[in-house]
Amino acid sequence: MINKRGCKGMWTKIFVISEKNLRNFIRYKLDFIFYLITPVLSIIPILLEGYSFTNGQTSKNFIRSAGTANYISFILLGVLFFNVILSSLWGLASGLRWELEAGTLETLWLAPVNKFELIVGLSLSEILISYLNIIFQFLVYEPFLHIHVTIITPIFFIIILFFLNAGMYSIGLILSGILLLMKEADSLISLMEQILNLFTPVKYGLNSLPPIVRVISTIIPFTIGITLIRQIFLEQPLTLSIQFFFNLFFLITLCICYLFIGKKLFIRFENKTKVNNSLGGY
Amino acid sequence: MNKSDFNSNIVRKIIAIYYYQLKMQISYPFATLNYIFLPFYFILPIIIFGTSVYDTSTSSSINTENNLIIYLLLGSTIILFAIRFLHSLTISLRKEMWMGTLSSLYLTPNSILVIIIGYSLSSLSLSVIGIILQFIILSFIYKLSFTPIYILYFCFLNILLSFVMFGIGMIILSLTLTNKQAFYLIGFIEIIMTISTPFAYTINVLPGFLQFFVILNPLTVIMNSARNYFFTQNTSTLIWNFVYFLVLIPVLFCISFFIFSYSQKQLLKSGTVDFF
Repeated sequence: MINKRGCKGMWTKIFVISEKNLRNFIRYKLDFIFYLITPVLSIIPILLEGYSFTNGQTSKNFIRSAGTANYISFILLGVLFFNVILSSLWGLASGLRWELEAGTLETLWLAPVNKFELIVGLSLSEILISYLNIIFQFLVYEPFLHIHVTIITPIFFIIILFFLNAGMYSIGLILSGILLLMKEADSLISLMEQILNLFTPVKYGLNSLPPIVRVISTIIPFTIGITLIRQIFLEQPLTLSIQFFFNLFFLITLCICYLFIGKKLFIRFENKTKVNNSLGGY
Repeated sequence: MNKSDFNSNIVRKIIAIYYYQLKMQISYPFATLNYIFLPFYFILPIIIFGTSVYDTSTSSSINTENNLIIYLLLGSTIILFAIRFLHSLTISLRKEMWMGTLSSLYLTPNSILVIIIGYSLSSLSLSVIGIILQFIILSFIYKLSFTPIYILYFCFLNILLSFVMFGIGMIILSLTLTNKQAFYLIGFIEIIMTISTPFAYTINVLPGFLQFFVILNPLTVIMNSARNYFFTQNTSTLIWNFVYFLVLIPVLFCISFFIFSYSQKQLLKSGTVDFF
């Protein structure tokens, strides 16, 4: 059991590990600047594509598939929150990846630090950097985001964001386990990111996807989460229907399931890695 | 050793390095899958979004959905090939830096250029397999047909493109070797390339002064040639394109090799080959 002193000690260890990673990241100043700018620019081609094929007018096709005519806000919200969940996904796996590539993971794993503290420490810095990036993106795109905020919006937003992150963090936990076992961090994360980008409604409505892909998409927490987020920010006036609460309940249930599965699978993969004696391998 | 022996020796070395790297890459199944399936993940969201937002009543530039898919497929394939070429080339030596083996490479009795070409060809070949596969599968899904002459013409345009990307890639590679900062720089350059090339949008949505720069972009010239030939069978721009690349490629090669040799001298002089 963690007592008060122990809890303080735990956070000290987590912050020390995070600080080390942050220092490493900031060391490459040019990369840091490009890291901030690149995601902001990456949305431009898709916005230009939307503008090209609608001539700046309303697209009936898009209303049918996405439920809104405002494709700019639709895409911006999708991309912003996709980056939020990627931070949960990348945070864990990427933290482990750098240690693996630097050949220091085995040493860290043997350090007198709880594995939970180590993983949280490694991912915390990545999540902090990602959130800094997302805030920067939000500030840049804020004038183009036509969102409606009511009194109840922040309450639902916090609940959705919390469970969305928890769900994606669990997927990150599974990825980290696979990463320990198979050592293909970059490819694995990139593959996962691209699959999520294709199968979830980041830039287009769920109805634009084939029926079979739609079914797969609904068991990914991001699909439910982004649908709810778009509803609370874009729908005017906001109607809290039974469907809305059902989706919220589904998101919470899905996240609890993923947390349970994520933890179980991570322990399983970690044990297998230890049995194979391949923790330090790359 | 005469000149032909020397050349065949270089080719043999490149092939040997290429096979060695390819074998290593294939031994990582996720990496291989990623290389092969990347084109689908890149192109499909563009096509799905394009078709979801496309409206015949508002879009005047492209008259049918089939033409829209071809427009997006040709554009995305060319930009993806350019990005993968650039990525393969620029990241080739950076990987060795991460692993701390770059100095050993410099000590081998091979030209560093031979090693770079061998390394980048291995990852590029996997990407090319992916691009060809996605082209075939997407053509099948969307029931698109291309004549053999058009396919040959499209391949020729991509060969031209690879020369241009080789020149640009060598400049970026020089920067990554001396500055040791590459990961996000490459991403940034790739994004600039995608913004300044009308691969998913029509050029008329840009303001006038930007249109001028975008038209001069070599990727736009290649993309327009590919699309014009497919949609209108118009060959009037072929001579202009030929002259454009006849001037551009030698100039780009001279600049890039000058920068590369300068950066090599600086790198060896500063003694930072092993720095990360």
